[in-house]
Amino acid sequence: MPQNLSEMPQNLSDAERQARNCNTAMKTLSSTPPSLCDAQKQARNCGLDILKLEALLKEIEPLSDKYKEIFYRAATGLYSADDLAEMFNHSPKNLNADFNKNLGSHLKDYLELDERVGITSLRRILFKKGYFVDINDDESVRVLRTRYAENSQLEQSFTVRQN
Amino acid sequence: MENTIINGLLAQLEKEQDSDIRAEIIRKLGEYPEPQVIKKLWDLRNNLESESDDFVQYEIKLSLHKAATQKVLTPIGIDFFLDNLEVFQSKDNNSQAPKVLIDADLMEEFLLRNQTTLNSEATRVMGLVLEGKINPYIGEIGLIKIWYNIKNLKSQEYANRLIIELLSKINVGQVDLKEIDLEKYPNVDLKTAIQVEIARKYSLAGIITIADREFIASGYPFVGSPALFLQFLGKDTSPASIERTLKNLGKAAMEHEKVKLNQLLENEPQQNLFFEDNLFLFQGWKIENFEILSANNNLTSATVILCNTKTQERYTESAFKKSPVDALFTAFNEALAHLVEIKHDLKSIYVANLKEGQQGDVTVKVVVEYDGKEVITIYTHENILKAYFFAYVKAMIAVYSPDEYHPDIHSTKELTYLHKIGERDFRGLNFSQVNLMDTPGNLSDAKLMGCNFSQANLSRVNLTNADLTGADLSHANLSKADLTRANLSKANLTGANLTDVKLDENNLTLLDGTILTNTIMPEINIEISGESRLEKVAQLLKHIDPQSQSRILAVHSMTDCIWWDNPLGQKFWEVNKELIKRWISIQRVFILPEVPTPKHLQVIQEQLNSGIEVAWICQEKAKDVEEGYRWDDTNLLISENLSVPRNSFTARRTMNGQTESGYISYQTRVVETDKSIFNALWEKSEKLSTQANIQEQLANLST
Repeated sequence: MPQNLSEMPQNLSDAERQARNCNTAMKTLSSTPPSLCDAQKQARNCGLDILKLEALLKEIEPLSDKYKEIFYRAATGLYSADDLAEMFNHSPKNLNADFNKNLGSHLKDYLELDERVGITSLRRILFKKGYFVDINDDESVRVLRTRYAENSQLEQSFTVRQN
Repeated sequence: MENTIINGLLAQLEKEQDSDIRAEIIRKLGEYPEPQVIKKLWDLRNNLESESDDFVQYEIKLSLHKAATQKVLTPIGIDFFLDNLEVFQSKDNNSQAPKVLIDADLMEEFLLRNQTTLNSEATRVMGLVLEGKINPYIGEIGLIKIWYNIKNLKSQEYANRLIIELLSKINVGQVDLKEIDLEKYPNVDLKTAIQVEIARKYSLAGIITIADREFIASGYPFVGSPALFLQFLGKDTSPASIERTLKNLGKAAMEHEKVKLNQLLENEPQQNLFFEDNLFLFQGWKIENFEILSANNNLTSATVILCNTKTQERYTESAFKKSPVDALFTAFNEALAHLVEIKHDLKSIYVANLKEGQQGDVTVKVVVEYDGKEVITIYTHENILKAYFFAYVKAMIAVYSPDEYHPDIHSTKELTYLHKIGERDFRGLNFSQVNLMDTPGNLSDAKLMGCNFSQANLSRVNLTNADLTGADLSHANLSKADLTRANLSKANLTGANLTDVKLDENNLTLLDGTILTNTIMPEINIEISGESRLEKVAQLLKHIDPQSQSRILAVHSMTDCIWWDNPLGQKFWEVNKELIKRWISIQRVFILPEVPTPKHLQVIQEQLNSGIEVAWICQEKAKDVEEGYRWDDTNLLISENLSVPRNSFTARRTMNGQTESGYISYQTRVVETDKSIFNALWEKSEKLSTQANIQEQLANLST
């Protein structure tokens, strides 16, 4: 296996490249297993701040990798309890209760919440508590109008300078 | 399958009020980077304030970010948008405003640059677009170019988002290259041809573009630059006014070009603009700043700062004088003294007004003396102090760094106005672009030694008593000029037109070392004899242009065979050989005594060998050619120039006993007469061939 990643063949398929990325991420996250790594990646794509979440999970340890993964997947807001039960081979009937026992109750305590933390409400609660990466795309909105105002301003100041 | 899900989600979102469910739908939409999803999310993002829940707002931003950047395998780029125009182009565009193609270059100026004159014009045009007063179109290629540039400058996501915005406001004009005749506009580039085709296909009212000149050869008239469009539009931005402006744009552009060209021709030479912008002196020094302060007290103060552009060394000097010019020059001299040892002496300054009234330009002439030499500089400026100062600065450059001195090309006005106030000394200046034809030009008594008048139009100008010694008059038009008593010694008149100039009789300066290559000569006849005639003829022959199809026809009377051996004859023989080398043909008839001596034969042999066409005729026979005329003591040389017939001349020497007389004539009549005499002699004389021995040939001929 090549030592340097840049020595890898250039014609790798995208799937292979993704796998490689995951491996690299794995190395940096040391003992993170592949499926947990994928879950983190998906959570990151969904706006979550992974470093903060890792710190949060550390506070409520001990926690199995399976529940960590469930936590990340639930945080994406893309899965219902049934989806997750199927994904993790967990009994749909028990998942909500187990989630609450292993994660929900601890999060409620740690985050000092009045409400219960369930699979559906997790994402909104994490948002409220600031576990999301900020998205500032204001400069991409109404570019033409903004530019028009700026340019007109510029021209005015130029006229003043000429005087 | 996927489309069904997407349509389901979009439909659900329309009516859903619950913010948790809205958030969930939006989140799910972000997983589908499909055109209609991206468009919907973009709309939601533009109206973010209508969502009251900040969690929903976040989901909108996130989903748009996800959908507009990444398809699973290929990143979303410009092709994606062009392939899905029907989704991104505004469907509710029923604008009644005039349809106008806005060049992509113009939009880029609007979007990307700040400090340009184009920017402000582009902004005003885009203002009309944003106000809905123009229904804008853009070419597909142009849109692609914008996307690439924005992507390079910012990011792919930003470029994608901007394209969505542009597509929501601007129509994309598409022409299928396979459907148009690519050869239809042979004189314009393809980009321009496509834009014209778009304008025609979509029945647009016109095109606004930075590259308006490119369209001239396309025959499409409704094109103009943003500046021109705005200028002609004025304040009335109604649809009718915009439509009318576009219709007249082509005509306006042509007139505008004409005005600009005239301005360019009238303007001062370009190097002055460069000079004033930089004020470079020499050896890396420049005038960084100068200031004059004049108030109602007695003294004017002036400060000059010199700066070395490489070392940033600076010298600042000030002076206080009654006159602002005095103060400024003194301060400058003191600053200059840090750089060089002052060796110049300002001899005189004169100023002439070029325009009447308070805004009038003035032209200043400065004469400076140094090392026994004189330098004259002229500067014209609306600011009288600048005119004084810059003329002086130019003179200083000429004195202290002649290699870095670039003489300006002076205008007709500068020359005539200074002459009018009695300033006659212009030696060494460049007037190569003056045109005095339409003004009754008067340069009488002017000192124009060494001036550059090449290409100048001096037709009908009064140059009486003017000193043009060594002046460059090549290709100048001097026709009908009055050159009475003018000194033309050593002037270069190559290709100049001297038709009908007025010359005083026998003004030898016209032939005194002047270069008359292909000059259109006046009908002059100059009486001249002896060595001086021969010298002048040699000078004229030396300057014959080998390209001019010239030939020499000569008659030499060999009463005195040793003539070719004396120094004068030797010199003339060298000139002959030089002509042959330059492929100018010479035909010479020798008139020989009854009994030629071996010396005669030797001369003839030598000329024959060097390539001259030689013939001979004996004295007695020659007499018959023109009755009663003694050809035995006449020499003749005609230089015939077939390219410039008016450059042909004839020179003749006649001996009357011991008295010699002669002329050089440019008179057509005289040249023709001499030529016919030559022809008659040539016809009657015996031609000699180079092959055989002369002696034998002559012997054969006489038997």
